[in-house]
Amino acid sequence: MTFVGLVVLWISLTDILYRYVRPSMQKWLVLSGVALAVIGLWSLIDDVRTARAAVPDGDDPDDGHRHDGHGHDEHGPDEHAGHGHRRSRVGWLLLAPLLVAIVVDPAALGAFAVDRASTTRVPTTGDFDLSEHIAAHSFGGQAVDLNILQLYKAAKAPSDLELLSSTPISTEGFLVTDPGGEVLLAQLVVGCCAGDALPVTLALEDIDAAGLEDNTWLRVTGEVDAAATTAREDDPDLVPMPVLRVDSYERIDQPELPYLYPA
Amino acid sequence: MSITEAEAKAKATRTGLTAAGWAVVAAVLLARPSLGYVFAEPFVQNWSTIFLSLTLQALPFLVLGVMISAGLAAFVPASWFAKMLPSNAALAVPAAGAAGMLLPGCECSSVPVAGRLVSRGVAPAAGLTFLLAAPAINPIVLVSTYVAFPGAPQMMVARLVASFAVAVVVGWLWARFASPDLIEQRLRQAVEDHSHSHTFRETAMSDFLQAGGFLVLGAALVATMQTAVPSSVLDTLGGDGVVAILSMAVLAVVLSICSEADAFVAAGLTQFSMTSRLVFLVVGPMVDLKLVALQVAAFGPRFARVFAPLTFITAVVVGTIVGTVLL
Repeated sequence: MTFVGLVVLWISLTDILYRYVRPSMQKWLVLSGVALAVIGLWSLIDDVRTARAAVPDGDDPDDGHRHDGHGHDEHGPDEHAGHGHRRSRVGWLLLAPLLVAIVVDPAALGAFAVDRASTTRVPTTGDFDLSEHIAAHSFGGQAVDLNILQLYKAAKAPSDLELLSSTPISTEGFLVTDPGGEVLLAQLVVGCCAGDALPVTLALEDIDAAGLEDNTWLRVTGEVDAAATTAREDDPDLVPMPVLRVDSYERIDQPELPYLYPA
Repeated sequence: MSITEAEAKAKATRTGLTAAGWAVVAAVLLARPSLGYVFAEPFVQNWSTIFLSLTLQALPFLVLGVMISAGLAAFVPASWFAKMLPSNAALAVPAAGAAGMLLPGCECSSVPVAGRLVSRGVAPAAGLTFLLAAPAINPIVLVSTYVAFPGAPQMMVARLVASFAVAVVVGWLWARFASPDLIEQRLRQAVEDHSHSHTFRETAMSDFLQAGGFLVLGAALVATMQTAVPSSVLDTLGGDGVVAILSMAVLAVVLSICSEADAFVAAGLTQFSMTSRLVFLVVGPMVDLKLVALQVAAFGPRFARVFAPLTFITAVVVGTIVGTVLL
């Protein structure tokens, strides 16, 4: 249990945490890690003391009684020992995630997860005011920074889609080549943890992706192709995948926060 | 008798097992370089990330639940619970459901707390109603539902009404029909005569190891399902009728998304009817793979075999009725 607590602390005090859960979980994980480590250590010390006290002269139950200063126990010895054994057996499974964390040390979810996810599950809830965002983020004709989720939200409204097609924007994500050979820029949207991740993707037009592998992080600048975007989806209930005409791109490192977070 | 040979031996065994555990850790670390190519497989990476993220996400809630459970065992006398709840099961059940509103957090906290309540003499039906109600109707979950469905505040209302109704109906059914020997007390019984701090520490340890072990099993199962079965199969489903409702109910069980995040996922599933998405939100916090594993940890497998199907069916039926009326 001490070990569990310490590994939790290690993960939650480094960037590794962000691969798994949303950043706001950090304080709770640190608290949990400390609590587990303290209780585990305390108990371990007590166990060692008890074992030391009981083993040399453990043949007399009353002797054990005095040593520990614990009171009468209504359970029989076998039942009590049984509890100890049972909890040891199941509890050992906790080593599994620790070993996975240390040995596999998996990366944040990427192209594999995007490929396998449903394409229509786009979490576009929440309001987003595109013109206000552009007004606040445009400096002297520079491309406006928007993440993919914001692009989706804006693409819901036809007027915003028009505005997007005349405004140079800049966004980041990782590269995914879909089974049809189309080049996509993707991010994963995480509500609580990576277990509920949903992908959002942009279709990239006019990009020469030769030599770029899937999962390469890129910052891409360009304009939305409104006509191509609308043409992608004939169901008016669904938000079409925005199509971005790429002017330029550069490779970047994976951001400190590898996912996007709704609301 | 007290701390006798038997307990000392059990403790010595535990210390020995701790040493063995460290040996396993060392062995795997040594084997790591030669197995690197296996770990780099996308399937393994994806599974590991989901497995760890589910475990980490649940951990603080589990620790909170275990701390409350240990606090109840160490500091609250068993007689207090009998005084707090009406003795009449018909009244105790809804009272326990309403008390579920007080526990902020998700399903991982409510299982250890409910387990402790039952072991401290609360009527099982009331304890189980609390277990079902707490993760579904607490303020955090309701707010996140409201945020996820901005154009449809009735979704939050429907979730509250349906979840509360399911919890109470299952509690009443349990009080009326279930035989008491279905519940196996798996939690360590509090020993009254030990010092408070000793009881607290020992209860917290054993509850955490017991529930944590099963949580790991549940998380491994969910990670396997999520990695092996691409969610793109969903694109072929959808629509309005009974098929949509049943597939959303099954999806809730399999995905095991925590109740604070499930509304965002449901909001994205626009190809499904509102009623079927409500069923998803009602079933998820009450019956899912992770949760059933935790219920086995607290009450034993025989209990879960009856309780999980009962809750599932009730949640689907009540969710459908409430959805038809309110949405």
